[in-house]
Amino acid sequence: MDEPLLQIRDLVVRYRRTGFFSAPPPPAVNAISLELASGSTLGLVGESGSGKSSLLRAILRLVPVESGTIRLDGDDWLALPEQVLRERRRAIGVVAQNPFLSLSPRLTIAEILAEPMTAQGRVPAQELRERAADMLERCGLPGTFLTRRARELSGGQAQRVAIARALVLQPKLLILDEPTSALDISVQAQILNLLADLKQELGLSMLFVTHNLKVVRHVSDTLVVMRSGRVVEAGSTEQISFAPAEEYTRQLMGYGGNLRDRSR
Amino acid sequence: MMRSLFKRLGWAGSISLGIIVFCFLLAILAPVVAPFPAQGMGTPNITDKLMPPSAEHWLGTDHLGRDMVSRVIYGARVSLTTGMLIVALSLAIGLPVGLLAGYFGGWIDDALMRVTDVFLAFPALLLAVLMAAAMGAGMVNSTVAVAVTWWPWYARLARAEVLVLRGQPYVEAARVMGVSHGTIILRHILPSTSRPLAVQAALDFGPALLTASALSFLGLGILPPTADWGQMVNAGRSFFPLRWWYAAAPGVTIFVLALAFSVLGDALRGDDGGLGDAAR
Repeated sequence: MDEPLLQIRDLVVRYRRTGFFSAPPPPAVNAISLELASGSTLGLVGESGSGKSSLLRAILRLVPVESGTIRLDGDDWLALPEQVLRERRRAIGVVAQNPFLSLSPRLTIAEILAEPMTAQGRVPAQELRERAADMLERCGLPGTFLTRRARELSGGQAQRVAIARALVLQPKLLILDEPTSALDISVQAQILNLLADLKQELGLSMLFVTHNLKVVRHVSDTLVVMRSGRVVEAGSTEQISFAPAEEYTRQLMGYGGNLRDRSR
Repeated sequence: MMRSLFKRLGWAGSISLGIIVFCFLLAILAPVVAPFPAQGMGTPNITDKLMPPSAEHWLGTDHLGRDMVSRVIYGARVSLTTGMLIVALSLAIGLPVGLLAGYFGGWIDDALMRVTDVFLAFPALLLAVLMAAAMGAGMVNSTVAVAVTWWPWYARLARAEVLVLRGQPYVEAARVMGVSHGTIILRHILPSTSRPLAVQAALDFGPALLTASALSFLGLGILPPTADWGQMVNAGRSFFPLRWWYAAAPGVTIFVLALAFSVLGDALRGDDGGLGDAAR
């Protein structure tokens, strides 16, 4: 069991050329390698366009990969055929940036929370409801929310629902894609605290993707900083946040700009 | 509720809706409201042939002495049924094609859409005439003939909607959760395509009616003695303009109804956000 939960080796993602005669675009993800130990949290940081979303989509197998390997929980993840993949997907829970976009506007919260469970096979209605209510409660919302729809919730409440949906199958890996960027500051803190609690409670491993180093500093054990598809800096959170080696990392931290102003 | 519906459709849309509802009611209640139900269904009454409009026969009589009001009312049954069947059949073919092409993309999309393009490349009426001529006259055949030229529009519309929906974060979220393609299409994609398709169907009802009438006019649709507007116009043509009411009664009816559907469709399209609330 020494193998890390998620292991990425030399991953290259390149989107299709735009026209027949145009040159192929540079890779969105250029030979990235990283590891996520079981039970730990990895912060993946980078400015917009740095390739972190492409990397994420590759892990979720939403975009084709040019080369490289991903091992997840012992599986050669990229080699899994569609049928097997569908069933193994339960190993990953995903929380997206904007809950109002990632939760279907047509379904009730109960239906939204039931979806991952029914995707994995038939579950009795009673059990569906109980498990949904249980997970919702762990995420800080009472069971009365089950009959509501996403648009009736506040941003923070909706994001709690999204987290509950991601966790309802008890995944080994929770992927968070800018989970707090669409929320206002006070709610951001609540969500981060909730994630920290859930991590303790459920022994989760998390991959936390964000452009905001300040946010991820509080939750992650290790950090990977990305820029134009490559890893710029990687290491433990303390090391990087107290002694960032790169100017770029400093900028992501939010005080790079000030330093530059002073030196002028 | 009636007031808010009126507000949404505007005065033109509301009048159109009224005309359409009125026509449907006439068609459904034909045996009750038609002054001469037997003549409406085709029984000749030679003694009164080609009478001009009068108090007894508001729209006159045809060359077999049948009351034109009754004929037009009975014709509504056939024409409205044909129109509905054409739109329903077109949807039944076009919607699945568009859903699959848009959702799966790649070679499935290419294959389905190239077939669709082939149908679109033919002039619609010509293709319908060819089909009807090949299959023979009759209501079912003419319906199929028109639907064959009609479904590609629904396929394209459905595909365009799916392409937008496929990229929605909640659809991707379902994929990432391991939800099957079938469930994603039925649960997350199909419900959101129904509104634009409903508008298109309402818009198309008029042209469908016109095309079906055109086929009947050419003798490729509904055959006598069943009353059909297109076929009645054709029969009345030889008595025009002296006995103008024979061709005019069904002709004007087709015109008014096709226009009403077109105006209603426009009103729905202009404010399709409201349609969903009214339908809920």
